[in-house]
Amino acid sequence: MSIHELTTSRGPEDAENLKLLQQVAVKDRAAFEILYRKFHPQLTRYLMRIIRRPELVEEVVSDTLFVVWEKATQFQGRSRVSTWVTGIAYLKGIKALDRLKTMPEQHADALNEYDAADESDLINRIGLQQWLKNGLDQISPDQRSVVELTYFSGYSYQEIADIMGCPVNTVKTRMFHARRRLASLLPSLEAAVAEPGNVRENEGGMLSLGESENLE
Amino acid sequence: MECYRWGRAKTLNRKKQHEQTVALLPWFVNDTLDQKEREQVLKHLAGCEGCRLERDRLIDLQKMIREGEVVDGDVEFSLKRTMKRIDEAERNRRSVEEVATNHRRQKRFFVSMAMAAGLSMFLVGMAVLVGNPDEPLEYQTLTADAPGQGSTRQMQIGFVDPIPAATLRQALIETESNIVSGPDRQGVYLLEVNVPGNVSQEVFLRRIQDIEGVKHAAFTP
Repeated sequence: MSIHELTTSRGPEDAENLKLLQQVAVKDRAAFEILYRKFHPQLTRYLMRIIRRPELVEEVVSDTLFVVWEKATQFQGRSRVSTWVTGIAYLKGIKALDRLKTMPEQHADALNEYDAADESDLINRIGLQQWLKNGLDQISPDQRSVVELTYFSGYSYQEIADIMGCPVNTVKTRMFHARRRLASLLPSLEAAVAEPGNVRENEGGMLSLGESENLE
Repeated sequence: MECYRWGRAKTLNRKKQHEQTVALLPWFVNDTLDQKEREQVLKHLAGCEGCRLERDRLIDLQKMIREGEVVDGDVEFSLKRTMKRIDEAERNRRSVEEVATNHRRQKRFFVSMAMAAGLSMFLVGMAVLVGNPDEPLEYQTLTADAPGQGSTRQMQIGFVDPIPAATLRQALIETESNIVSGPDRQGVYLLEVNVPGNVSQEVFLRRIQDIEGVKHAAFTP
């Protein structure tokens, strides 16, 4: 089915995106500019989470939206437009990481200190967001992708599986490992959010994840 | 015993439910579970303190992720750069198309040249055939046409490569022949040829057949 015959029942936002993409498919530059401005912030953020290299992120965002311009006619409406675009961004991001062949470790020093330091001191010193950022640096790009797509972008696990081109169980497993890793790095998350500097003991909620190791 | 089995099955079932709920919690928190899964999670949460704690932690984590790390990309700069890239890609595409068109033109030119060369050979062959003074005289009966007078016959002729009709026509004018019809679906022409009086029809036909580019030639009955 041609993109011009597609309709969507996935809400007004998807309908608007689909309309723009249909215009992009006939090389309407004005529509592309609107779509670009709309997707640029969320793609930048998402790719920043996966790649962690600001100098690369801009290039990958541009690559992603260039592919959208080139391949708009190939959209088949099997998912939301945003899912399709994010899927392209994911592939581009992973390719960029493959090119680098290294895991970003720019905050490793702070985390090494974390092991020995008092938790509350660390939070006070580097700030809660930096602490989270450090924690996310310690999980794999695929796990970061699942975390970001779930908590920030608000995708369902089926949509994340579409974006990342993997089975649903793989998404759940990646999320499981990400949670376990984050739990070990941010054990007092709940208390820290409620009252930074006043960290409570871990009550075991996240650690109970160990029971669910074999999700696949 | 039955009671023990029932109790064990119930425990296993509860453990399975717990594992499923733990796995689904992130999407319970982001509110994307379907109705059935949502009900299943809610039911489990009502009786599981650990999962309720985990849910609360995930809500906090979601809040932190949503609030944190504002990334300000320069949209306008990025857009400008991408538009430039699109322009460049389109220019490249156009130039590739031009090269392809030129290549097709060149190919057509060379094919035409090859066909013209083939036709020239045909033309030369016909001319040689018409005016070859060294051709040995063959036995003539008394009732045969007078030498030099010649006779007109119709001939079917086909070529290895298609020959433009205009070029063929030109060749035939010069050999005092005419196109009666053709080419048909197989590219065969029907010609009216003037067989010179000093050459037998068989020799004439053989010479036509020997011309390079001629696929087959035969007199019509």
